[in-house]
Amino acid sequence: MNTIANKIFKAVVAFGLALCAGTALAQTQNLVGRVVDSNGNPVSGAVVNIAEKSQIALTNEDGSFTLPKVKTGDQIQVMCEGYFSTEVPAALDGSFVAVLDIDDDLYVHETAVPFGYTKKKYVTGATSVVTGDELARHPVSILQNAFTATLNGVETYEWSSEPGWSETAMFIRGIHTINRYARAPLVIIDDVERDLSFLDAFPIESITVLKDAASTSIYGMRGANGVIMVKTKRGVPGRTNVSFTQEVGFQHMMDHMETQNSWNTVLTRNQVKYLSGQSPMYTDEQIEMYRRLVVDKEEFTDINKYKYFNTSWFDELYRENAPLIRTNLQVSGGSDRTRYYVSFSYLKQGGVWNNDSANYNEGYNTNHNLNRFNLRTNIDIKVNDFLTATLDLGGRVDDIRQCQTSVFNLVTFGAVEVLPMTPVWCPDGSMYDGTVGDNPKRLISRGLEKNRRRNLYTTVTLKGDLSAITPGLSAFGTISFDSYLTFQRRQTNNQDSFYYDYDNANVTDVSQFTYRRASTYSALSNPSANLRDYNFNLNFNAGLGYQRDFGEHYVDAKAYVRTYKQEVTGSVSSYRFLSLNAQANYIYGGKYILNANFSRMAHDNYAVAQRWGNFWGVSAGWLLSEEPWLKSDKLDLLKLRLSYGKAGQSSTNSGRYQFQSTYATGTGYAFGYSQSTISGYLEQRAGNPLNIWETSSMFNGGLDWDIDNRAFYGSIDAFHDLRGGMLVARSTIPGLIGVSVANESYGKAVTFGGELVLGHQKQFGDFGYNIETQWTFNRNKIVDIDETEPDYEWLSKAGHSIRDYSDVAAIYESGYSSNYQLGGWNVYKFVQWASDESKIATSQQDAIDHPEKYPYNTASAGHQPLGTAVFQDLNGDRQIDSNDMAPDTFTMIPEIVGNLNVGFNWKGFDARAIFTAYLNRSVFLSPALPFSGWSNLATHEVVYAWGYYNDNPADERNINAKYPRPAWGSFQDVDSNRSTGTYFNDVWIKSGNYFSLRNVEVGYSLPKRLVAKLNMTGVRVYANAYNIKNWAPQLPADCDPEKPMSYCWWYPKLSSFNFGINITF
Amino acid sequence: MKKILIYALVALGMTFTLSSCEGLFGNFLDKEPSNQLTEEQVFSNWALVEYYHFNTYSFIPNGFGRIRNSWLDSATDLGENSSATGGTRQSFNLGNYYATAGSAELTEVWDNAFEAIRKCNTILARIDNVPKAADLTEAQYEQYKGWYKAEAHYFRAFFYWQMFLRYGPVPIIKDALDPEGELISGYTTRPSVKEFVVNFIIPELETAEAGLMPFNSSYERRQSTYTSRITKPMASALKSRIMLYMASPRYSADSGVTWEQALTATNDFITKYGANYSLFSRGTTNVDKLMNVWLFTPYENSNTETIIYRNGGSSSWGSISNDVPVGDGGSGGMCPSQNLVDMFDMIDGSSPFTEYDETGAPVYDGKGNPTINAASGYTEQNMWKNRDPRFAAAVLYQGVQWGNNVGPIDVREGMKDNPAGNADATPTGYYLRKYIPETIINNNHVGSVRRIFAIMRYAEILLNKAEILNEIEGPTAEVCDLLDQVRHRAGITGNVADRADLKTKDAMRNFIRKERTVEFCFEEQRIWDVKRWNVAEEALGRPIYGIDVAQDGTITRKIAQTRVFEPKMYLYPIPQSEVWKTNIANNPGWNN
Repeated sequence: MNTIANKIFKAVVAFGLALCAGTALAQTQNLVGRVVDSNGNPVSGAVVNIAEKSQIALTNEDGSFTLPKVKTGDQIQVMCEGYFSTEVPAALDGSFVAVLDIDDDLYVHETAVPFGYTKKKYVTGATSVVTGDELARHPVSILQNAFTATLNGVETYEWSSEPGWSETAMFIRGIHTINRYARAPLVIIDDVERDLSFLDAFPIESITVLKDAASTSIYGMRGANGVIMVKTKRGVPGRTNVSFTQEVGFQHMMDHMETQNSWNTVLTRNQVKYLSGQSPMYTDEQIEMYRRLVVDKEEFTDINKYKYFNTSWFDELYRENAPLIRTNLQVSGGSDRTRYYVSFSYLKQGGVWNNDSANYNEGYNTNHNLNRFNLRTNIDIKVNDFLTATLDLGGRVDDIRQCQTSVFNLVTFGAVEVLPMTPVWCPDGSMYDGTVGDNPKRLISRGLEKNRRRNLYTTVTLKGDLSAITPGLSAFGTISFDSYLTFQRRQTNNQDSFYYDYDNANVTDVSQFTYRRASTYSALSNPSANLRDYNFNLNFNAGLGYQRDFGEHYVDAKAYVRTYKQEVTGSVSSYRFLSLNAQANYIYGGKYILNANFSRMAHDNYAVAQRWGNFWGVSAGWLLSEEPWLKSDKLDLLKLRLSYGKAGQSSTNSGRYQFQSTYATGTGYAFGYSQSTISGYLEQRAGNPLNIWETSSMFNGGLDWDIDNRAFYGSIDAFHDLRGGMLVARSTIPGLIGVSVANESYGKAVTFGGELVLGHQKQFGDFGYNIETQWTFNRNKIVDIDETEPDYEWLSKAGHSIRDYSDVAAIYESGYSSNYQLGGWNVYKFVQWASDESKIATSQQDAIDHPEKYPYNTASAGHQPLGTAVFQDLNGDRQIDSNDMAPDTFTMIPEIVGNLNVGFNWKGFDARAIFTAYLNRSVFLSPALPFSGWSNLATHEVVYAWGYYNDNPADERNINAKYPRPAWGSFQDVDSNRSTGTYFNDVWIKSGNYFSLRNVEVGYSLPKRLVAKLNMTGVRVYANAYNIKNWAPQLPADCDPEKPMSYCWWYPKLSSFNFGINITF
Repeated sequence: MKKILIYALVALGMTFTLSSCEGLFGNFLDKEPSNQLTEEQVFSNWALVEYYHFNTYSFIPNGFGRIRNSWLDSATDLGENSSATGGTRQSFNLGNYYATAGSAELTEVWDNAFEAIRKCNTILARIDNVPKAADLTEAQYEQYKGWYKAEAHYFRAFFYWQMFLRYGPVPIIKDALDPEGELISGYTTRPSVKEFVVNFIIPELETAEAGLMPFNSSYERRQSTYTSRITKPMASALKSRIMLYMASPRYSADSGVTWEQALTATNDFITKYGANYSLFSRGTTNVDKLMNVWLFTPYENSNTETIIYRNGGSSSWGSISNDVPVGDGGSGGMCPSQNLVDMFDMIDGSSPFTEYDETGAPVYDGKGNPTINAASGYTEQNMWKNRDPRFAAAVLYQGVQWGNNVGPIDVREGMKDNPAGNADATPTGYYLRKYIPETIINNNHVGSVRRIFAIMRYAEILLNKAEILNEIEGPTAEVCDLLDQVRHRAGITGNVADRADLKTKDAMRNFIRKERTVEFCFEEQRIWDVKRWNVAEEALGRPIYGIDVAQDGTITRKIAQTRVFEPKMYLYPIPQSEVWKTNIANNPGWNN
């Protein structure tokens, strides 16, 4: 044994020696030297190494270091945070000094702009930037969720949190259009239009949000909603950098409402029966049994143990925590000729379902499980002095396992609508499945669905230096191909389950229960496989660039052609765009900046004569801090920015080729003795060549400043956007034309608002802290949508903000892809609960004739029960109808979002927290929240309903009730009916303002001196969390303020907690 | 200088890049094969154009429960819809023309008619340029094109006529309007009655008749694949009806059409096509025979009487249950009124009441009772005995046995056809029998029959002629003979000529109106007839009478609904949004 180990050891050593042979055989000695800055001051903590070697040394307090095994002529690389890296040939005579230039001007760093880079101080548009490193500190499985807290001016709404299917909508500078399908921003990844949803943070260099039209007009008719511009990391010449991250964490169900326990349920049900004028459902004896069970926690041993239950179906369905594991490895480096960057990530996200239930089938688990593999390689090759090439490859594979039952059915029928009085198991041990709702164990174990998503991203770019023709001239070309495929495999099965009469009072012995089969076992079926989704995009971009400095003048210009072709599932013809673009940037004296861009773009969806649009933007910047009369060491930046531009939005979801008429099969007619029907065919909709893109004409003004090295920095922006060409049905097209006509690009809306950033940071020796606050505000108003003038001003859409008038089903019960709704409602205004029978009119006429009485809702046909809502009669006609709905709610997307980011560092420790405020926001609580008529079950909120304790209108608890009087089967129609729309009132539509602790991170970096001994450059351990706690003053406790009904119809909202280690070497 | 040169060069280069690329990439935007057909593709495909044309047939109105489950005749004195919130009961009958319940009649007819007309205009403009399908001979291709164009003319006339009845003359649109074009300018004024009907609709029908499919043995409608297609006689028949309308009191002054011209149109039909049509009579009992007139189809049963109809396809329980008595599991629906019941004569041809007004209805006293003609043998408590067999064929009344599953009709309070609390129970005491296929009732609601909705029957030609001749010549023997043909087929034994009370033109006129009403009840004739006679205020404004049947069988007359009919209601309001969009004048009294 010993000898074998010995041999292996020797072999390893020999192998290691062989590897080092090249170095070992040469003449080497220790390099002793110093590193100083450009002022001659020593630089401590700088990393020193020989190019392409992993061995490193660190400089000490006086800047000196000793690097072993150096031979003359070796290129010595020196790098240190806060300085520009350098490379110096080794001098072994003891005179080695490396001078590092101080990198103290943040504003000369390059930042991404469309199709290029510029120095930060020359940016003239309205932008927000976040680095991938910052995003990586948010443990989110979907990147966009971190945007609200990091990118000022971006708002997100998480539609679905289901692993693998999570979707988040993004809005830049609020809502600009009534067309809900025309609100999404453009996502550009490495200058190519791509899908962002599933990118992870590690390979991201930075994300820049272009907010003003002057910046986005270069994207032509794709840019009007703002642009999320992502740049991925690329290799830098020098030593190979390796970064390894391992994170282990869990996701926790947060703010999750549950239905009442069985004792409270029977009490509530009896009270609701009483309020409905019906006899009680449960006897006092039964109630007492439930009380003993729930309150006394008594365990029955007799027959009662088969009769009385307090089942928490939420516990049967859910587990509190689901695992979240993430691994990432990044390697980058290269030489002058070839540079590379590689990132590989693995993410595992578990489902929140109870594993006892998900493991009910032997041999396979039906819990949600996402395995995601992300690979990205970016390679830059300098072919020769005139030609460089880059090859970017990205790939992602998602393996999603889930149960066959949809989340909606699981949550709704498996928890929210099942009676807590029913058992999980029958007395004989078989599975119970009752008549109300379903046993979640059965739902979740019914079949298996697997989806495999395979995405591929490729980009090849060639750049030619044409300086030979004229200095500064270059040519470039890019081709990229992305493909998205999803394969689905479904298998079904079923379980045996039975119903028995657990509530039969006459049963005295277990044998007397009657069983009835509810479902029959079937084995897992063979998988049915299908291609669920297939898209591919092909991008092409080629043109000429010109960049040159003429003393005081600096010019950077480009002209290029871009094509974009997208094939999507179910569409026979691809979507095609062609644009001709020009950009120019002119800087005079390093302080006056003029930027112009122009895009002439066409889309095949429009008629030939209509399909070209011109989009343009101009912006100017004035760097006051560069002016001699203001220049000061303390003033690092003072810049004034102005921009105006026109960008378009062609994704309006109005369908293909709206300029031409649509034909479809219509009603046929039967002819002949045999009455064979001959198909009909008809013109479904007449084409309208004026159905084109929307346009945004946006003015933006801004000021950026930085005083005393970020002691006080910030920026302020204000914008005004006129959205034109919103698709509306023209009211001027008469019926006598005989066909419906495609919508026309006619409507107008105005959006205005701005952003504010204020920050302060300071370092006192080992201790430093930073505090930054970001605010965004936006408000919109419809100017014209060609509506027929309504009877009352408040009913008109023009002059009021953009609303979707979404019902509960549309915002909470339907899927994301068919959705993208905002809410925003006209509501009946609550006055008080009907409290005095003598004031209740008995008929509509009575209410009209006797104005001293209450105004009553027409839906009640005059009579109104006590404890229902009395609404304001806005038009004074003594009846409550849609004319009395006031447009004074906000949408679910807040008008104001504020962030506060505080952090500190001390020695190796760092900590920070981000708080977010969402203000001027409204949400719709379904009447099902306190009491659901579908299964007559309640949440704890039912105690705030009128009549929960008694039906005395003078009772304080009734006067101050939050919800109306419940009724068996539903609430009263007058104030809560979903189908007639009376529930559009401010009892249910509430302020959705909330405050959130979005992100917390604490970390500790090991001392460099220590890690350098292991030839590493950094080791950091950390813990972070996302979506930790929310406070919503107007909303019920325990409900998620972003999506208050998410406990009921959707995958629950999650908070994430994460522990990680990052090693770099 | 050098700099400027460089700038100029760069600018030039960029311009060149931009301009040349536009041509270079121009093809990129040209469409690939798409799953959406363009107008050009549709109208170069013969089969699709045929389908496009045949779709127009489905616009022919189907009378059954057309207005939110109400029949058009439930907006007349012939009946009432049983559902308390249904269609006409809460709209037209109360004078509330803007109620949602009536919108199917008020606004959808407008939209549908113009939709159908657009299809006709498109066919007329484009069919000549549709290439021949490979499987057609040149002769067939020409023949089919001719038929389709003629059918398009016919439908254009038909749908403009549908609109004329409701809204009066409307702008005549003869092109498929381009939504981009100036939609309003040419169509803001409304033509006169003469311009609209005499100068446009009538010539349209004449053009249609010339080109339509002939009606002879080779295109025999009854058993060929062409059954239900529009044929020459249909255009001629529709023209004769329209000419009758134009000669009628309400329109004659505006139209300038005389009774003689109307007679010519009717005779024209009889001369050219009369031999193909006859009063249909097949069955064992009088009621059977009559039921078969409207339940038998021309194609399955060689019904020789139907001239124009809406082919309703297959009807099963679901499509008839709306108008079946509640005792049979139906929803009541179209319930005939006592007003209608009172208009039926006795089986021997005598009148049960002494006096009839110009709406064809008996003259009611202040309490809603007509004066009984004792000689006829009519008594109030035996009012259903010995009546014109058309009564029993159209109306289900207390005690009548129909179907073989459930007992006789019983509308006594609390009994099967009038149970307590059933909102669908009859408001008049009667249920509908006409058009309800009894076989489905007998067969426990299983099975289906083909059901058509008659728009014009040969009986109408005869009664039209009788009406015209009476206006020209008075109650001559020919008038009596024409009436007798229809009445004898129904099973009435006596002759009109023997009726002493019908010797004046006025009396005969009222009699013909009554005859027309009972013959065509529930066939969407009454509402337009009373309007063209200028008697709609009396006919549609008077109360709807019904009966209560006591537990002992005693019959008591009652008012089932008081009706509102103002002079402005002779025409419907043009949909408000349409007036707003086109700025055309709305009908008198409807400008609000």
